[in-house]
Amino acid sequence: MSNGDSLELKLGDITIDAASRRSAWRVKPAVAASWLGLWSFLWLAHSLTSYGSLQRQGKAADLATLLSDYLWYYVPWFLFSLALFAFLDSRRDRLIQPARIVTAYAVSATCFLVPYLLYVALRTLHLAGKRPAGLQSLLDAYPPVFWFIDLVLFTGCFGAVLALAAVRATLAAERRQREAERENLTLKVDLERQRMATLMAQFEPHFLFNALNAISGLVRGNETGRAVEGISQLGQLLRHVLQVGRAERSSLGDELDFVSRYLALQQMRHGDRLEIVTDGMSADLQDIACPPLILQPLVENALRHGIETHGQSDHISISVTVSNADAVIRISNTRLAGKPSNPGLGLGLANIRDRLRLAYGGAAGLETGEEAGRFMVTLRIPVEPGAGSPLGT
Amino acid sequence: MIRCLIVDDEAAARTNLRQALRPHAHWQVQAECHDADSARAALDRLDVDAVFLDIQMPGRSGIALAADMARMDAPPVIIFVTAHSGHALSAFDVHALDYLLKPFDDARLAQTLERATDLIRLKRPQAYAFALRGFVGDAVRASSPHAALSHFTVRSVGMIESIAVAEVRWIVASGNYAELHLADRKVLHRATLRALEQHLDSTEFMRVHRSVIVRKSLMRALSVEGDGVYLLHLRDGATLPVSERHAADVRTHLAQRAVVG
Repeated sequence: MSNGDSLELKLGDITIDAASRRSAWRVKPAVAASWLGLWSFLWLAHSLTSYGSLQRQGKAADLATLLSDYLWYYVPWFLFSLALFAFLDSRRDRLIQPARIVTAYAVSATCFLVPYLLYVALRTLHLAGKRPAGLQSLLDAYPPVFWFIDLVLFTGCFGAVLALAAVRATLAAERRQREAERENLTLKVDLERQRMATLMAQFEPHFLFNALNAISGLVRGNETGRAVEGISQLGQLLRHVLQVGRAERSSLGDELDFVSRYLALQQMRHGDRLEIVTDGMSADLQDIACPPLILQPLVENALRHGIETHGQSDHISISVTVSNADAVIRISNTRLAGKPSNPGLGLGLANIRDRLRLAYGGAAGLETGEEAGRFMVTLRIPVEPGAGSPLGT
Repeated sequence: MIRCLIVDDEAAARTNLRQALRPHAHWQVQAECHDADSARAALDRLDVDAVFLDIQMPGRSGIALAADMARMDAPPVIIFVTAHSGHALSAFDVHALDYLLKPFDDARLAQTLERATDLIRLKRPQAYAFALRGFVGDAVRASSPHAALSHFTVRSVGMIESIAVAEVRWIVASGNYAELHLADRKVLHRATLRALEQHLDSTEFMRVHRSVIVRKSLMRALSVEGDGVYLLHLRDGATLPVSERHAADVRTHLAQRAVVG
């Protein structure tokens, strides 16, 4: 891209911005007051200095006249620096780039310095009671040395405004970064808290107490083998919860193992009344990643609204089908005619939907429905090739 | 011989209890029920002295069955069995009812059976039914934050007694017991001060010390006895300790009452 190109582009940019993003041009009253103060100081200092030197030279001097005379020179500078500051401040993100600074300098010189010099020359002529007659008359009234002084003043003013805008830009960027960091931290803490809450919610503590109570019964009945089996299942459940508690991802195989152990313990509690059928389990499921503890709440709900509500025999079925694109897990339980269908299920499902959205965006899905007298939950998660179990078990 | 009923929806939990009762030969399990309705039918059919009652069951809960039983003239003694701790436990304590937390050990079971045996031998079914009604009323009102107790049921070896909360002047904690101070005597009640506080009307009673709850209307003055040592003087001349933490509350209350009165 040639230099000319970029200049044109930027000029175009500036016009569009000035027209369409007026809001970005706003100047805070405090900023305006600072500029007003600065220029008022220069104006007063200049007036007083002139007054003093006129007096020293023994010339007649009236301070009020001087002040009003000089005011006409300073008001444009004040307005210019204010406008330039507002403009530079509005584009603080893209400020420190030489080409842009040069462009801004050229544009402000054209838009401010040239008209200003013309205005001063005309005003000088006017005060002298003369009429403008060509360029020469203007140059006579306001000689090039003054033009040069004004150019220096303009450059200094431009530099000062640019420096102030740059400082503000840096400070703002630092603040933004700090805010971003803080936000990031808050988000992390929130996520962590949510994860802990999820873990706690996964494992209803009463389940543990009831399972331990059932194991107590086996021990008291001298059914040592079954008791030890129950203790081992419980141990493995706890181990899984503690392990995946630290991981982002688990594997479908591990989660199904977890759910089977959980159901085995529930069977120990409920005996023959609880029947469990699984279909589609295979070693390959170990290679399919999924969020930790995503299945257990679904199974717990099936129990809570099945056997633990109607107290009748319950039949829970879990089936898994895997295609190239996704894995579909269907969990269904017997729904008793005339009984309300799964009250309170909504909250658990909403939680799982949130977690799926966090993990997969819109690519995963959770649906509920009824089919042939059974309540059915269908979970669909995308299969990510090559993503194995992070637990490596 | 004590005839009992086991009510629990979980087969394993029923087995556990049956097995745990085996060493206690005089406890005879008459029937096992898997829900409240079948237990109700069994109670009509059988003559039982005690019921082991699970609270969380499909269909009607154990509390609902207890409410049924509270309406009986001579209800069997209930031993609640639950995996849930929390508010319900303080209600059991306050109403002097027996309970077991799942999973329980043999020592705890033996202790509970002994307490229940005492109660059964007392043959005071009306007093027990009254305690049960108090508990059920509490359990029903539990959703309302201002559910306050009207009667304590106090049990000790050889006695069961109902004491109106209106009779209580102050309560002092004493180990696992609370001393209920009445106008003419004091009664030991097996409940923690914290459990009692949850069931007392906070407009009538006030905690003034880690181990003291006092009736507000009896409070007369607060005196400072030394560094962080305060004494509350009651209208009847008794004095009770006040802890530094509660001194400001006591002072505020006395000042308010001075303004009102």
